[in-house]
Amino acid sequence: MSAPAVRLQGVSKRFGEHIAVQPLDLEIPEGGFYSIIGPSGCGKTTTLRMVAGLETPDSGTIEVAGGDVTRTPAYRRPVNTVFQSYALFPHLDVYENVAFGLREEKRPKDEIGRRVGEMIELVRLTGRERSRPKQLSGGQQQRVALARALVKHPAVLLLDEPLGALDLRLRKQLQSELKDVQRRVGITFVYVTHDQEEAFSMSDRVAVMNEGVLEQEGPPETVYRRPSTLFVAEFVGMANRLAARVVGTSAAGYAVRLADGSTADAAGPDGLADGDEVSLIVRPENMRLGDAGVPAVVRAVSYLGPSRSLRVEAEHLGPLAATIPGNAGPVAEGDRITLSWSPADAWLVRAA
Amino acid sequence: MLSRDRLLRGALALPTAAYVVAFFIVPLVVIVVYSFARVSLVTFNISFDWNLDNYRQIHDPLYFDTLVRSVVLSIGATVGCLLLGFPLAYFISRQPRTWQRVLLVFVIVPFWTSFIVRTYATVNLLEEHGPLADLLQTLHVISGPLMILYTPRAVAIGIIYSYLPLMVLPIYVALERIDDELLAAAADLGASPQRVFRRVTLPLALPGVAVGCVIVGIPAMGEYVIPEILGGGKTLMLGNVITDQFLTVGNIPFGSAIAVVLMALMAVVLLATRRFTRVETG
Amino acid sequence: MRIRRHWFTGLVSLAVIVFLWAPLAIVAVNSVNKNPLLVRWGGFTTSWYHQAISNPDVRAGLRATMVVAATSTLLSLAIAVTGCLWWRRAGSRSRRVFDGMTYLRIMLPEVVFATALFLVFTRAHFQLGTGAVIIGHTVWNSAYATLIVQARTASLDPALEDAAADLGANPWRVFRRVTLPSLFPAILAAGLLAFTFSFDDVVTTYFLNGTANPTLPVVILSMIRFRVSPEINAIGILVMLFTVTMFAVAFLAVSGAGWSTRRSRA
Repeated sequence: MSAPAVRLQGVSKRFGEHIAVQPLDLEIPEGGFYSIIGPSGCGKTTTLRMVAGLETPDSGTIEVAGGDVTRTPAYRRPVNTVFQSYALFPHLDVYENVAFGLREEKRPKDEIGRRVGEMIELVRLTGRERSRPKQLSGGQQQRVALARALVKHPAVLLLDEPLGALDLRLRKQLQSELKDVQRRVGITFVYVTHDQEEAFSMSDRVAVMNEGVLEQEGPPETVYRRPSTLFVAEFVGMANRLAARVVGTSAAGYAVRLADGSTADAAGPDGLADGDEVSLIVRPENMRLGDAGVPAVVRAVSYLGPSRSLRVEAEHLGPLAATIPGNAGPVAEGDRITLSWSPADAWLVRAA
Repeated sequence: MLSRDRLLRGALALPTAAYVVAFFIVPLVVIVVYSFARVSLVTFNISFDWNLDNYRQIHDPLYFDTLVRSVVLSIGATVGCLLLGFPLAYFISRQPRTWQRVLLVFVIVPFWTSFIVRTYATVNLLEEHGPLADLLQTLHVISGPLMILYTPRAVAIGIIYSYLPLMVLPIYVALERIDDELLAAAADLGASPQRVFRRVTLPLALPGVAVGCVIVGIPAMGEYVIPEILGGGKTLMLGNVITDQFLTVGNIPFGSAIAVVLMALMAVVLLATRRFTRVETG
Repeated sequence: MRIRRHWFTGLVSLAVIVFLWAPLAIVAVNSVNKNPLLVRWGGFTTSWYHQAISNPDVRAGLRATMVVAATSTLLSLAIAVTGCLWWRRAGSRSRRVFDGMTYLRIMLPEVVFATALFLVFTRAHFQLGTGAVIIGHTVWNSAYATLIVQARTASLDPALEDAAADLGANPWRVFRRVTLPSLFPAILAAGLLAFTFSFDDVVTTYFLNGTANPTLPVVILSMIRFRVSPEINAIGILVMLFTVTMFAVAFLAVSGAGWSTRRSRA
């Protein structure tokens, strides 16, 4: 098995009083599209910058493609970055921007010409080589930034929220283009964003950070369906949270007692014992309208087209959210309904 | 990598730090030290016995008058600049953008000419039988030759002439920020033009006025060339006395004491106006 | 132009502008006035200009001034650029000291600091002359240069230098390929300004020049003192044309060349 693209061991960083990153262990496998997500201030950008060499960690080691780069300055690391503001050099045209890194490597002129040409074609900007950055649209500038970083064939490409300034339609278009490019080029992409949906749509694996701590890491589906902490459960999607206590095991995994005294079966992580306080997580889309289950009164209904979003008040269990198909219903405010879910869709998370 | 970064940054500060300490701070400290010394005007030996004699000598009417005159002239010139400069700054700030630029050019270009040339030009202007004399005679303001040259008034006029753009610019910057709509709103709420000026324009212009007064008043106190050329040896300001003591008389300790007094005056003015020169943002 | 609404201030403004330009106009007129007494118009002549240009004192003065101004400018720029680069990454307390020192050098009456340097040099038996003048000029010239360059460095996007380092440029190459080109208009303006201030300076030069090699302003000052000749007007106009041109170019460099680098956002 080849070395991971990036390995962080015990890496931490503080700025004055504020601890940006707690000692962090993370391995990013080679060759895929990896995202680090979390709210503003969670430390994801700081972590990215430490991998790039633009910040020095206070402790720990950083390895890229098997080599220790902790003490290596940024300009000697096999890592390149696409910056949030693109950081295109305003006094250089597109061609010179993309060629910048190759000139630093002192490559011969025709090699530079060939590689720059290939890259500009890859990001579909042929014909704009002589334009200045300020003459380009946001989307075009982003592509120049991408080309500029990729042309050096780095071991790892880092992207720091590169799509933040673009409108929704353009963002979606560029997301699929980025994914496409990554597959074609085969370089490990490490992508930082606060937008969970964006990360999930592009990534092979996702790491969730909060307040300097890595909460969970894994394929998007695992993180979504089997969150390991309450924070992760609620950051990656809407979640119904029911307080519960473990009372035994079941076919699905565990049996728990809910606040209204009823028991439910649910899946959960290994190692939970009887008596443990947990939260039962059920996603709104896994709720079903049916004859048996939790009785509730509908407080609000929103028709969204493909789905209907319900806010209900359940006796003893409190407010719940449910998302049902748009063609199920009709449901109106004040209706008495019953909600149920399959135990396989219920997941236990240790209570905070 | 960490220490190398820090070393590099330290190296960048070195030129400025070394130069400022060696050729700015040290000489000023030396001046202060020498102001407490004594010199024999026969042997020109300087002895350090830490006395305040030099400072006492400043109380001598000869020198004290000069001190007072420097302060008075500098205040007078500042007020003169304010009286002339404020209306000019106000007028320019109310014009459309392109006219503002044109007018500013007219105000700034004389400032870009050589300092000596400007002062010499003022000499020409204030000549006994010069153009200003002709003008005033035609207007029957005066009957004989214009006896203003080589008097304190000439020096004040010279200072005003040289420093006027320095007063106009900060006031213009402060006034320019005041939107015409703001003044219209005040009028709409029932304020007469005088009250609009007093309650809206003036307070907003105050930081600019304060900055202008400081950058005119402080250098004016230490002026040398203008009183030299326009005072013709008859009107002396602190700058001339200091130069005289150092280069002609050779009484370095005394000259140093006067220089220290000038520095103290400057510090007083700066501290006193600190409250007013803070600009309102937003 | 809106005159009617502001007729009073407009009138004062007109008077002030005439007041500012009249003396210069008089010098200009007198520089071509045949009448050497300059009391009234004596006819057009360019003889004063010929006299001024061929005056050996004036030529020597000009040469000395050029040497002093050029050297002081280069030194001042070196001090200003290094200082500003340091300032960018400096803590707020260090910055305040730095800024304080910059403003102090500008605000302090020139006479005080010129005498201080004079004292130090003479006591240390350091020869007064062109070298001393250059050192003296650089003290305040570097402050002016720092202010101008600082305004530009404050608006430099740090991400650009991060990007250059990320792409393989070591700190020196980052400076040469990214920082310096961005700073260029400010450096040009600061250089022209410093040169002109140095060219024009009287007080510091007068104290530190010693007896040989007077600069042009010192030459003019002694000519004015002794009321030697009407060619002073011609010299004055020539100097004026030179300084105005320098300032004008500096101004254009600062305002024209695009102050901001953050314009490229969609």
